Amino acid sequence: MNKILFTIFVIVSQSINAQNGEDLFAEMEPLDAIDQRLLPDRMLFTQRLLWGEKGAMRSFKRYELTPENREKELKLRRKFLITHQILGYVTLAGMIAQGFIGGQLYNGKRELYELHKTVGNITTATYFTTAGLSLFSPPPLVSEKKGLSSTRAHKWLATVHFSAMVATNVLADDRKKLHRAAAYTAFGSYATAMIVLTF
Amino acid sequence: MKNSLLLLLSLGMFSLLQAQKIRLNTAASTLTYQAKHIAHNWEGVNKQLQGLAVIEEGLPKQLAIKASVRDFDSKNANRDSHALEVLEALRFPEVRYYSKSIEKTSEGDITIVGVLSFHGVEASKTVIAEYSSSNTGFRIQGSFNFNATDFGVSLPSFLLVKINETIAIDYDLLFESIP
Repeated sequence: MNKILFTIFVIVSQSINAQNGEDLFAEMEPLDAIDQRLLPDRMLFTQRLLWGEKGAMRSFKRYELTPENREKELKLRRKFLITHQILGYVTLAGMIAQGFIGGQLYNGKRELYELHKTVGNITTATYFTTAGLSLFSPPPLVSEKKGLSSTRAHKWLATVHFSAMVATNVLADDRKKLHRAAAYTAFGSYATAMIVLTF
Repeated sequence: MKNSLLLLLSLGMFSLLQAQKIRLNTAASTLTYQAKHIAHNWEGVNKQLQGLAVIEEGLPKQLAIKASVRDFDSKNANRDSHALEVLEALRFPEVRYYSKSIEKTSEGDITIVGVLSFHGVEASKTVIAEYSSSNTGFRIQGSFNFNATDFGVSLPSFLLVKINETIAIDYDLLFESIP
């Protein structure tokens, strides 16, 4: 009888001790609520208008703020940003082309005026589409941390080249020297914005 | 009969008391991933780990570690944010590793046969760790590699080139008994 009881007890006590490592997770603390937030603390006001908790897009069922919808939204964000990158390169090419054409035009080749105007309109269209894709994209999961970063520098430079791009278009017909200065400022700050993000 | 019962109780207590659970010292532990791309390499560090270990006769018998995917910091918020999207952090918020068996293989080394759970996929992973013990617990350090694609992760690209699928992991984990 003693032997039977002893054997039973050894088996039971060994089974208590033979917990799988996986069982230990049940004894750990669950994720913080902070880890499960769907929106970042901070976002651009343009993003908040559309994608904030009470943004315009939230009134559509497809974009109601749920984990499943937010996942789809992040995939949409990825498409927005990839298109932003591609159009960004197209815009850069347009600016470089305009630099050459504009330079020739300013040196007296008046026959290039219509070409300069057409390429200018196309570049302006791609530029503002590129900007829109960034400004109105769904926000990321987490906010950027404070301090200097390549992303922050990219955004700061955007305010410079955005203003310069507007000025370039406003000054296109009347103030040629200012138009050229604004165009060079737009190109310089734009190219720098791409470089800081690449490296 | 009474003696038998007393003996059984004593044996039971002895058996249960042999196994001791100790916690990971979060402040003194880190988990670092290293990733590569032709443009640059980078690493992300997680200092918010959770873990538990069971020790018997002074040696670890089981352990489990988990980390929130959001807590990896590569010093680039844009990159970290993109990583969370690629890793579908809302669906799979944690990365976990637990042991199935632990053996001391040589002086100063232990071999852990375990399971890595990442992006909703579980895969066996055996690691050889440098092991050092103290009065209050033990420390394990080491590194291992895994392929992100084995866990169903779509490799992100930059400048139209994907990152290297091999991710290196460095770990430095201190388990201590709580006073």
